[in-house]
Order: sequence, then C-alpha cells, then structure tokens
Amino acid sequence: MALHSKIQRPCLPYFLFYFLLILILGIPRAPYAADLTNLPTLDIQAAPNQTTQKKSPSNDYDFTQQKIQQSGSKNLSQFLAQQGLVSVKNNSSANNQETISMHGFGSNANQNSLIQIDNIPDISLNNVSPVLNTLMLQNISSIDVLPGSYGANYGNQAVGGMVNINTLTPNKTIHELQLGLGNNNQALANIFYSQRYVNQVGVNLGFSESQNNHSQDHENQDHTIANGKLDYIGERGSMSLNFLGYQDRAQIPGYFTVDGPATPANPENIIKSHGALSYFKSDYFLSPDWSWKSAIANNNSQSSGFLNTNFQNNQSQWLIQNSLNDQKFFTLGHQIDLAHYDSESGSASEGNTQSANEIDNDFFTTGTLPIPISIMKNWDINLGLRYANQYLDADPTPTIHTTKNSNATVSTEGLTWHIAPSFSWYARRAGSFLFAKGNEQMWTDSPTLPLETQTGVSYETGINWQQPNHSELKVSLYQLDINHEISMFTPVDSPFPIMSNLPPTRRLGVDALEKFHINTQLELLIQGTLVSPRFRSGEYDGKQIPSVSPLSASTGLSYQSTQNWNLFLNESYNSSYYADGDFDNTGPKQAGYFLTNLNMTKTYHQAILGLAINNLLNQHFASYAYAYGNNPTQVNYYMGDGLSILGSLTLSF
Amino acid sequence: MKKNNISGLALSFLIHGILLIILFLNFDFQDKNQVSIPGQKDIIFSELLENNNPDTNQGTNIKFAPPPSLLERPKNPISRLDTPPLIKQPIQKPRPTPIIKTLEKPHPEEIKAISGTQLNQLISLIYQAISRHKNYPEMAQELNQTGIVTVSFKIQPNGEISNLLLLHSSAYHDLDQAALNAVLAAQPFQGVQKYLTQAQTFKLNIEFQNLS
Repeated sequence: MALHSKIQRPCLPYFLFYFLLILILGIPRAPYAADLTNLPTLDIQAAPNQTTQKKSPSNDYDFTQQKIQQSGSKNLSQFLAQQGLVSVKNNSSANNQETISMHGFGSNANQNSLIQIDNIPDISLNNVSPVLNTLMLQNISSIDVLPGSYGANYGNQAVGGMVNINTLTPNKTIHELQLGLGNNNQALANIFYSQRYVNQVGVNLGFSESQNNHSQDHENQDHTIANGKLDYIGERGSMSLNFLGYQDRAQIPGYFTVDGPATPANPENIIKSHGALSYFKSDYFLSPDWSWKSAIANNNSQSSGFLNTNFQNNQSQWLIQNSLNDQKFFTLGHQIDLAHYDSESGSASEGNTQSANEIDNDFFTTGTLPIPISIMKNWDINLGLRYANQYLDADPTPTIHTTKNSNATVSTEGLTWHIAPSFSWYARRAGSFLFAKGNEQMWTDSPTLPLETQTGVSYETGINWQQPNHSELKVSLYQLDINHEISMFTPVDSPFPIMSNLPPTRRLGVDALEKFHINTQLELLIQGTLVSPRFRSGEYDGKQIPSVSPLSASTGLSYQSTQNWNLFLNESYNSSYYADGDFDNTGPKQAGYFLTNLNMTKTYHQAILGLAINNLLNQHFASYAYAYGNNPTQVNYYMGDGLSILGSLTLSF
Repeated sequence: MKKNNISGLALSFLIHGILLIILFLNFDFQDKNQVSIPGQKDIIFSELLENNNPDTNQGTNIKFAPPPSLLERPKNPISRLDTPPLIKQPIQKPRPTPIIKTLEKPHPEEIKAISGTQLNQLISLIYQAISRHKNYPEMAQELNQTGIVTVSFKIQPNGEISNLLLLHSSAYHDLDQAALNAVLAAQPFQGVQKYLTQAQTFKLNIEFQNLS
C-alpha cells in the first residue's frame, strides 16, 4: 500500500497542470481537432452462430430478435408455430403443454426434441413438455433451430432436433413497457429493463402477465413470467446468473368427437403450475483458443389441479456442466444431472403415489478437423462421441422399490466440403439415444422398470448456400431409424394408454429453407419439411406413425417501409394426420389446415403501435386429436384457437 | 446409488469448485491495459498516465493521446485507468514536455484541408480500405464483448499513417486492438495521393456489435 501511494501521489499535480493548460490554451486548439475529418461509423458485426456451424455440419437456422419482433408473436410458442421447420404440438388437452416437433415425431415429440436455454437443457421429468413460455420475447437474443440428430453433441433427447434459445446479453439500454388488449379476453402487460453499467456488469429484468380464453368457453389461461439476468463480461471471461420463472393457470376445455356429440367442459378441470429455471454460467478463456465453459442449473416445477381427480406433480433437477473447448476444433466435456420426480393422484384412501430419483452422467467429445490432404484442402471431418449412463431409483407403487442402470454410447461422423466461401455440402451419420424418464418407466403395465433405452441412427446430407444480406438456401435429406422408440401406446382391451417401446421405425424426409431479400424493404422466408414417418417392421409394418403431419410449411413476407411501418404476413400449412394412438391407421384422418397471420407495427418516436392478427381466416382445426381407448374409429379432438386480434402499445423510455 | 455415480458427482463438484476459484482469482488480465501495434513498442495505458517519459515513445512513429481525462471523458470510464500502474522503471517526476509537444499548434499547411466532393471521395476511399481489414476477434465474439472504439490518425500524402490515437476505448482490450489493427492494416492507403497534398487527420468510430 505504501508503494502504491508513492506511485499515485505525483499524478495529482501532473493532472492539475495539464487541466489548467488545456483550459488556458482551449480544447478546440488541440492539434487533432483543428483539421479533423470524421469518417462514418464502421460497424463490425459478429457472424451469428459461428461456433455452432464450425462444430456441427448442419442446416440450422438462426432467428434473430428482429425476426421475433417482426412476427408480432405474443410468446415463444406462437413464434415457433409460424416456422415451417418446427411444428408446435399440443399433445394434451391443456393449452399450456405445448411442445416442439422436428423430423416427424407425434405424441412423443417432447422427448425427441431437445430445448436448451443458453445451452442448458430444459428437460421435463415426465412425458409432458417443459413449459415453453418461460422466457419473455424481449429477453431472447436469438433462437437457433437445428433439425437433425445430435446425440453425441447434445445428449439425451437430441433425436429429431435441437432448439437453443439465447437470452439477451444486456449490451444496449432497453426500458420498455408493452400493453395489449384483444378479443377472446386477451390482455397483455410486459415490462422489460436492460442496461449495461460502466463496470461491465449488465442487468436484464422483465415481468409479463397475459391472459387468453383461446376462443372457447372454459379455456381461460393466465400466464405470468418473471425473468432476470445479471452478467459480467471481462477481458477473458464472462459470467451470468439467470432466473426464468413462470406461473400458469389453465382451464381444460370441452372436446369434440368425430361424427359424434361434443362433450362440454368440466369447469372444475384446472391445471395450475409454477416453476423456475435458475442457472449460473461462466465462460473463461484459458488462452485465445481454449475456453472452459461451466454451468450449474436448478430446474424446479410443480403442477397441481383437478383433471376429474386431484393430482400433484413435483420435479426438481440439478445440472452441472463442464467443458473444455478449443474454438476451432475440439470440445471435451462432462455433464451430470440429478433429478427427482414425485406424483400423487386420487383421494387419500384410493390414491396413487410414485416417486423416482435419476442420475444421468454424460462424458462427451466432439471435434472438427481440416483434412490434411492437398486435394481435399476445403474438406473438414466432423467427429463426436458420447457415453451416457442413467441410474434410476424408483418407487412405482407404495410397496415396490426398484432400480435400473442404463448405458448408451453414441457417435457421429461427418464430412463438410466448403465448395466456395458461400456454398458448402455436408454428409453425416449421427447416433442418438433417449433414456426413459422415471415417470415413464413407472407408467407401464409392469411393476418393474421395463422400458429399454431408445437408440437411433440418422444419415443426413445437405447443401448450404448463403449470400450475406441477400439470399440463403438450405436443403437437407435424412433417414432416421429408431429402435425401441418410447411412446404412449394403448394395449388391446385397455382403455388407458401406457408407455411402451414401439417396433422399429423409419423417418425419411427433406427440410428446406429459402430466404430472399427481394429488395431493401422486402424479405421472403420459405420453410418446409416433408417426412414419411413409418414403422419398418413388426405389428404395424408400413403403417404411418400417428399424430404427425407429413408436410408442414410456412412462408413469411416482411416489409419494412422507410416511414417506420413494418408489415409481416405469415402463411403456414400442416397436412392431414392420423389421431394419436391410431397405429393401425384405420381411423379418420384429421384434416390439414392453412393458417394466416398478419402483424403490423408503426413506430412513432419512442412508441410502437402494433396490431397482430392470428388465424385471420378463422380456420377450424384440431390442436390435438386422439383415438380413444382401443377403438381408433372413436376420435376425440380439442379445437385450436380461432381468429385472434391483439392491439398493443410499446413505449420505450 | 451406485458407487461410480457418487464418484462422478464428487469429481464434477471438485472440477467445478476448482474452476470457480480460478475464475475469481484470475478473471482480469494482468496485461489488460496494454495495446500492441505490430512493429512498435507496446502501449501501456497506465504507464502513459503515471510515468509519462518521452523515452517510452522512442523508436515509434506513433504518438499517443494525452490522458483521456484531459480530452474528453468517455461515456463508459475504463476501469483499467483506475488500476495501479505496472512498475517497470524507477519512478520519475512527471515531465510535461511530451504532452506540450502534442498540443503544439499545427503547422499552417496542415490546416489547408480539402473539402466538398473531393473530401467525400477521399472519405469513401479510406472507409472502404479500413472496412476490408475489419475483424471481430473470436474470443470477443464468444464473450459477447461489444462497444465503440474511437480512433484518430493522420494520413500522409504517400498513404502512410502517423499519429494513430485511441481516443475512446470500448473497455475491452481485444476490441481496441482489433480497431487499431484494422487501421494499421489498411495502410498504405492507395490512391490518396490524388486528394492529399499534405497530411490530414481523420477520426473514426468503430462499433462492434454481436447480433447473436
């Protein structure tokens, strides 16, 4: 300290001297100001998603915050539903149980699509999807959609694809209040604050409250979100502490029966849920090329209510990730996931209780290496390997205690040919796996834990052409073969579905995405997937997997006028499909449908007026259809939302 | 619970703990206040402030900005300026001479600047030349480091630059360095002879944005 004082002391007179000198001479007379010519600001923008592209050959697509805002979507699931690459499915009667599907999954879409938030897996411990809308749209920086199998890269559940949602880094000052009102009892209030302070600390805080009756009686839903982020970006590392909490209350509507009477809602059927994902992340560069990424996350959720009987589910999860990453070529990591699930249903005297503890341990490595042969100088080889172990300790009934140890080893091998700077081709083989969750193992017709680990192999090839700020074309073909596919299944002579391993399945498909910048104001984005999801042997050989639309596509046209007008028109299509549970394909198909969405905004200085219209033509469609019991000809379905109009005012201050 | 799972958990906690200790002990660079210009002696901000010895600039053709506090107060004050200086040489009394030198009245010829269409063409030429060398360091991208760097430099009629100054730091060493490198790599500016008969000083804001 004494030495420090000695160093500091001479500074004061020095600064005072020059301060006075500057005052006397006058700042404008400084030499660099006399003949100074200002050049326009030079923007240097980071390429989005660059690291992911280096490590995994894929036809992924990155939706930016600007695209999300243009869409006029009220929440994340509404935005994803507008994208043809992803199907948003609701595999239950409750409208707060939406999930995403990629590469042709139906009722088990939740288990076969991995959702990550800032690269932290957001996994539910039962067969109901984690609540999608835990993030305010303002708190999203970008959404990476990665169709395809990535078991070696991302682990359990990365079978049909992965969606990673990046939360906003507080680099810009945002103080925003949004209020909205619409038909169907819609109301919306969002407040969001984002600020980076001088000491390299940034803060995001957001709170959202919304309600909607989904155009039907007894289908009211109230949804509350609270988001927070505190981050520090240093010279060599960054740290962030995040909190994503939600609370939801949803009524269960009545259902319709094909060629039969409608069943009115029971107003007492209500699901209440709340939960939070909290995580601490750090990214520290050991050298300019090597970084150590680390995360610790806690995911808690509870749902309770009445669905013809009382029920309550509790889930809690601790996840720890560590990985050593070379920025260009290599990743080595470990992930451990400790989870607890318990449920109670029915009355105290005739109730059913279950509980399970899970420990998942993953070791993984991935790498991309340029091929060291002169004639293949523009080729990369992509490799990956993951070993995963699941230990399950469960009480499927109050009197039985059982344990199970499962292992999976998957690998990926791929080649990427960079034909030109803007054009590449890739081919890859990728393994995938899915451990049965504790809840699923107990929801079988056996008192033990009978479900096998699901394994799959995907062969994928595609081209990727990108002309920055102009056009993009991505096309990929794939064949995904799965053994022991875990799915809901209703046995003969049983009215209740159980979890089961299905016979081998095969999905053949093509994904395509085209983006055209027609001019500086108009942009067209076309996305589509075509898939043939079928059993490849066994009892249902050749039959189509139910609850999957073979074709889904969307077009989005955005127009940005110079007068601060923004117009976005979205048209999406989902083709017909067999009802959930109709493995024989003997029941009636649910009709395909088009949906038209329109969003308009006008910016006045610090205010934005918005008008979002969803299902403009008021199309009637089923949000979820299922074959009841073992009778596929009796198909019940829940209606999707009709015409929805929401006006909003956003104020920035 | 199986033994290997318990040991796996223990190992993960241990690794995590070590990592956090490393992070908290070493989160800031020792050399964070150092900006390097190829072929030149490293610029150390704190030395410039604390030990303004003209010898520091020996062997370089780059003159350094006076302390930012004397010129303009950055919107985001840089924490590195508040840190104790590195002690590399015996402490000397501050000598104001070099600063007075940089504050000298410019030569009358330098004030005769070009203007109008010619100036616009020159600006476009210089802007494009620097644009070709713009680079966002990968580590900075990964860490979401963003900010605005303001530099000024003098272009000689032969296209070479001198007096490269960092007027406003982004608060991140790598971004500042990338901005200086972009300007340095652009020299010699081809075609400026057509417009310049004497040296001209330019100021440029470089904004690093991470859209992902």
